[in-house]
Amino acid sequence: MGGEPLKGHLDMLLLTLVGAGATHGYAIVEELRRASKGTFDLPDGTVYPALHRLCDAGLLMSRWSEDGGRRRRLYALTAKGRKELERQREYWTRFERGVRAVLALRPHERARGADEVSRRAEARSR
Amino acid sequence: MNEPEELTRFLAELKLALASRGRYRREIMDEIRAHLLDAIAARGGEPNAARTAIRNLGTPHAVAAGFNRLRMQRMIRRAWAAAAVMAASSVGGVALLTSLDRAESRAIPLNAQGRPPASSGAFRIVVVDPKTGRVMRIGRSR
Repeated sequence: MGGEPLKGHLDMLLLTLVGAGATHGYAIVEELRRASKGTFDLPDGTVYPALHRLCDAGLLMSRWSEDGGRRRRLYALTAKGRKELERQREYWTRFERGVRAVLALRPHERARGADEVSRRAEARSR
Repeated sequence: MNEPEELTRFLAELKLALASRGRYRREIMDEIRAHLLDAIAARGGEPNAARTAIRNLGTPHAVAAGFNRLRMQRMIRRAWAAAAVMAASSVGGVALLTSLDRAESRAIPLNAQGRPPASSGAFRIVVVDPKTGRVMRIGRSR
C-alpha cells in the first residue's frame, strides 16, 4: 500500500514508531514496513520531510550522533508529541470502532435498514 | 566504508535539486547519505545493494520536492509573522491565530478596532502585546 491511503495517518504512525524506539530515519522506515507486515511500503524519501515537519511542530526533537564516521540524525518524542499521539490514537480507535460496526452488518440487516429509509421517504412525500 | 558510485551520483543530483542552501542543505545531505549507507549495509553483500537502496528511496527530484515544499511552508510562516510584527507597531497588538487542528499557526495584524479580522475557519485566537510579550486575550473565533 503506497502513499495516498497513508496521507492522513502518516504523522500518527511516525510518532508511534519513534515512541516505540525507532530513532533514525532508516530504522523508522524499516520498522514501519516490518510492523505493518509490508502493508505500508512508501518511498523511503517521503519520511524525512514528514519527520522534519513534526520537529517544526514541536512534536519531535532531534540531535546528531556520530558513529563510525557516519552522521545520523536521531529523533525522540517531546512531551507535546506524546500528548498529540495519545489524542490521535483515541481518535483512530473511535474511528476504527465505527467502521468495524458498520462493516459487521449482516446482509439482511443492511437490507432492513435500506427498506426503513425508503419507507420514511415515501411517508414524507405523501 | 567507501561510498558506491551510484550513491555519490545520487547525492550530487539531490544537492542540485534542493532549494535550501547552507547548513540545512548539508544536514539533509548527511541524513540521506546515512540512510542510504544503512540501507546498503542491511543488504550485506548483495550485488545491487546500492541500486536497490536508491530505488526504494525515490528519485533525487522526488526526495528534494518534499524538502522544498517544507521550506516553502516555513517561509510563508515567517513572512506572516514578520508582517504581523510590522503591523503591530501601528495598531498596538498582534493576534496569533492557531488553528484548532494544530496544523499551522499564523500571525495576522489586528484591525483599527484592535480585533482580528473575521475568518471562515475555526481558530484559537491569542493576542500578544509585541512590546512586553504579555498575552492580552485568548478566545475562539467560533
